[in-house]
Amino acid sequence: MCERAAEEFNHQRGGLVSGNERWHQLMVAYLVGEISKEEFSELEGILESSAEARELFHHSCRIDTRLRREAGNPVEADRPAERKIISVLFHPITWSAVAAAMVWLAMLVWSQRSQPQIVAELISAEDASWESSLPTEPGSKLTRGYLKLMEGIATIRFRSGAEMMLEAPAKLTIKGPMRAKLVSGSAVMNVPESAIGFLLETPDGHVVDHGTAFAVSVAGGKSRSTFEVIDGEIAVHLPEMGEEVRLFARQTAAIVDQELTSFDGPLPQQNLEVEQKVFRMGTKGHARSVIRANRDKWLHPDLLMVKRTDKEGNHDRRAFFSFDLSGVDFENVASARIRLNQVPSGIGYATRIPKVNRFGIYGLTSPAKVDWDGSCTWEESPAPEDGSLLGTFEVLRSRQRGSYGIGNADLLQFLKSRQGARATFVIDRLTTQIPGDVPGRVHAFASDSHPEASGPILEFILKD
Amino acid sequence: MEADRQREEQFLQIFLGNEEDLKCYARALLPTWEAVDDVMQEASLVMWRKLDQLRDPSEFLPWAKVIVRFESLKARRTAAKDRHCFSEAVFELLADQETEPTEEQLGKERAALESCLGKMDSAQRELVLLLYRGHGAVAKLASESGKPVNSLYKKIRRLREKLTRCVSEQLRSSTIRGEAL
Repeated sequence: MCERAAEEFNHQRGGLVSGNERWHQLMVAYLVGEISKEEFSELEGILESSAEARELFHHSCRIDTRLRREAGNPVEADRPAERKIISVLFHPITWSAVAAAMVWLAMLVWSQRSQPQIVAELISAEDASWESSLPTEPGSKLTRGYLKLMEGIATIRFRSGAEMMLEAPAKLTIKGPMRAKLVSGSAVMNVPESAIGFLLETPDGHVVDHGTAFAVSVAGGKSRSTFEVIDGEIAVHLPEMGEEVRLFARQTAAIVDQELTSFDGPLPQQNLEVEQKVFRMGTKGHARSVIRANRDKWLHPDLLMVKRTDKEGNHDRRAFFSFDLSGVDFENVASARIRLNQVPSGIGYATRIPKVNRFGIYGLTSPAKVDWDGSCTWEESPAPEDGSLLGTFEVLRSRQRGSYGIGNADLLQFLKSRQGARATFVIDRLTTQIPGDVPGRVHAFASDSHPEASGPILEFILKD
Repeated sequence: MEADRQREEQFLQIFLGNEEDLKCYARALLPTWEAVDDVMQEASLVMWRKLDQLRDPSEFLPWAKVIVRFESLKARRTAAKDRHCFSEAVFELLADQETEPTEEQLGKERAALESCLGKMDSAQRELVLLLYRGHGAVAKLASESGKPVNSLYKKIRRLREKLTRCVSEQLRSSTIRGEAL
């Protein structure tokens, strides 16, 4: 459960714990000795999954230490450690005897590390992108810690010889040469003789490998882990219930809601869960851009182009699209959203625009423009002033592709006001570019004719 | 004999010079200050016994941390079950301390704490520090002031949260401005 709390927590904070109120409360509760069992397990979960949290925890411990010193405890005259050392120093017989006996222990401690221990190596990464405090270049040595594989496939070899092929999206905590936890995602493990006994945890249970290849998949947040033996033998444990099942080649098991079931063959096919009833519509070609200079050759039918400069530049662009709402029964509609797919425009420099670019989507309400047919000039075409702002979204300048949009009550209200007719939207960039002669990036979203990405989509989420 | 005396002085000097860093480290691994004091005591003895193993005094801190870690692990195993001891996995992750703070960072932390304590009035400051004034200090104040112990603890907890927030905010703003506090 802890990991789930941690994940949710990280998710809410976008991975940033430093400004998180809850996190401060948990650390303080622990340090002042007033932490409940539930809070403690939440704290542990976050510490386990976040390197940033661990760093901040060390920082809080330093504050605790300084406050204690500030409070004058222990005072200089009452330094127990020092007193005891001195008492040993004055007993040379004790000291030499102890010294001789302790040599072996010294060796033992010396052989432990003072640097974080390398427990695994990242062997290869196919098209992988990561969010991790650990190094993510192929060939990197890995210490204990948390990895989040956003895209691609990565192969990790533990020092014990166990090899894991991790498939995105996945979250993994490396715990040691013989231990790891798959928090979510899928992985295939190959465990040679040297790593027999390798323990792989999941949020639902754990598996001990008895020399084999097996596949494991964890549906994060759904209390579901599945295990499939490719070759050899594994033991799947459900610690909370004290259950264990041994699986051999081609056998499978699933833990669903803390219930362990094994199968003598492949896992039963899972029905894909349809979480919401959604009805989608496109613009059917009713989408275009205009440019202030009214030079159509600077536009492209595949692209909805958007650009704004501070000084009403000739190359300013904005785009429009509309949906035919006749036939939409709003009685059954719970909510609505608009999706736009960003595509590269190939025009202008990304470094000449702000790091974060904000876009507004306006619903056209002006009676003069509301039935606009899409074939006119900059002056004749609808402007943001002809409608009302329904919502905004942000695009990082480093991004050239992605799915963006809005979905809120204002949008639904606007759509309802256009019931049975056509609803037209204007996209405008609210942010401008860095002043100067070098042109800033023109943003583009796919129109219906774009060869790769889909044009604007209106989604209605229907009532149950 | 004189050599022993010198050796002892040298050890005390280097140990005391690093004591605070070691305590901070032990504090992160152990649930209470009592446990930290016990471990520091044991660890300091082990360090003294093994001083011959330390080849270069500049390596003292990482060397001593290994000993503190080892002693903390021992203490953790024998610690009372009702205490909130970290699981072995979390203990190991914390003990690894992936990123060590730089001297500059430590300096900023000290300055931020000092400034945030300075922003509190003396009654608030005294309450925050009360926790470290030994067993019974909170209960004593509670009975003197006629307030329930629990509500006093709650108040201390809130003040500590405020202090922690203040320190993080100061550190963040000093990082953003890219200058020392």
